[in-house]
Amino acid sequence: MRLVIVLIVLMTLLPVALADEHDDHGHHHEPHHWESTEMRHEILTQLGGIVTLGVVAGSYLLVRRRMSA
Amino acid sequence: MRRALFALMKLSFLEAVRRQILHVMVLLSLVVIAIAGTVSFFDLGVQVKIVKDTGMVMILLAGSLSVVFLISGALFQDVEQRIIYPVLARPIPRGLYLLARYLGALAAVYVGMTLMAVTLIALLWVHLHYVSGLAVVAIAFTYLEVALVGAMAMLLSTFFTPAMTATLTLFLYLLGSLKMGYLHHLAERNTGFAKWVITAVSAVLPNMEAFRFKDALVHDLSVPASYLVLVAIYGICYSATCIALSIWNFGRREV
Repeated sequence: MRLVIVLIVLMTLLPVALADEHDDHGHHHEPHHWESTEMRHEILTQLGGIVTLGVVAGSYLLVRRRMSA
Repeated sequence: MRRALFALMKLSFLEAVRRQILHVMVLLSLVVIAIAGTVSFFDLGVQVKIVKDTGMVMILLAGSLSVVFLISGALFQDVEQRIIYPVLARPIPRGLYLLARYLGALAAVYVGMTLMAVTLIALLWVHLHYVSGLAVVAIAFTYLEVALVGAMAMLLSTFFTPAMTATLTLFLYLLGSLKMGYLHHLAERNTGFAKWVITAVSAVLPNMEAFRFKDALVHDLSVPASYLVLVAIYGICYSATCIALSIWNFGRREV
């Protein structure tokens, strides 16, 4: 049963994934994500959030260990 | 502790490679890649693009689906079948056990993905008599994307049942893939509470599109090295955060 679900998902996503957005007639197209400043900004923002979370969690664990020692 | 980690990883790996779902996904993908590479209706340039496109899509789809289905039920089954109790009765931290389960399953998926990657590279070699570095980079970032999907599945598996975990992970994966286009556009079109919710969800979701360099490979475009480094750091940090949160949640719940 699980196999059938996997195959259905695969067949449904395959044509979507294979759709090519590149236009060979010189029309305007969206910049690729590695050319997009918005993408870089998005990644840096999330990375900043992850680092902040890590620093907060690490500090909390350090303080808790010192208090229990 | 390192010996315990490797021993548990080995057990997890051996259990994962025996799962039928992995064999079916890998076999299906190899057949599709091989067909794309050998059936020639087009001229060489178009044929090569089809091989690259199909190969990258199949590696990503097979890897993502395999890792979701392998990891989503791993912890739940261990608890239900009471396999986890004798392991935790030894002085093995729960976090170590969870990490070993994740890395073992991921290693099994990577073996399958490596078979597909080798097939793709062999086909490119047959057609072009060379393999660009970008092919290796694009495949490497696919591995990283699958690791991130696996980490998300592991995090959700500490909260939900296997079926819900698999469904939610695939849903979040899809949303993460549409984040820059669809969700941002949706946030711009809405106001008030709806906009706030969409923005909050978008801020937390991983950016799956960042790991995909299929277009660069297919159309022989160059990608800045600084961007590759940034995305690699992002993928590793996000996966590590998901695993850390999984360890935290698994540690505080009763088994």
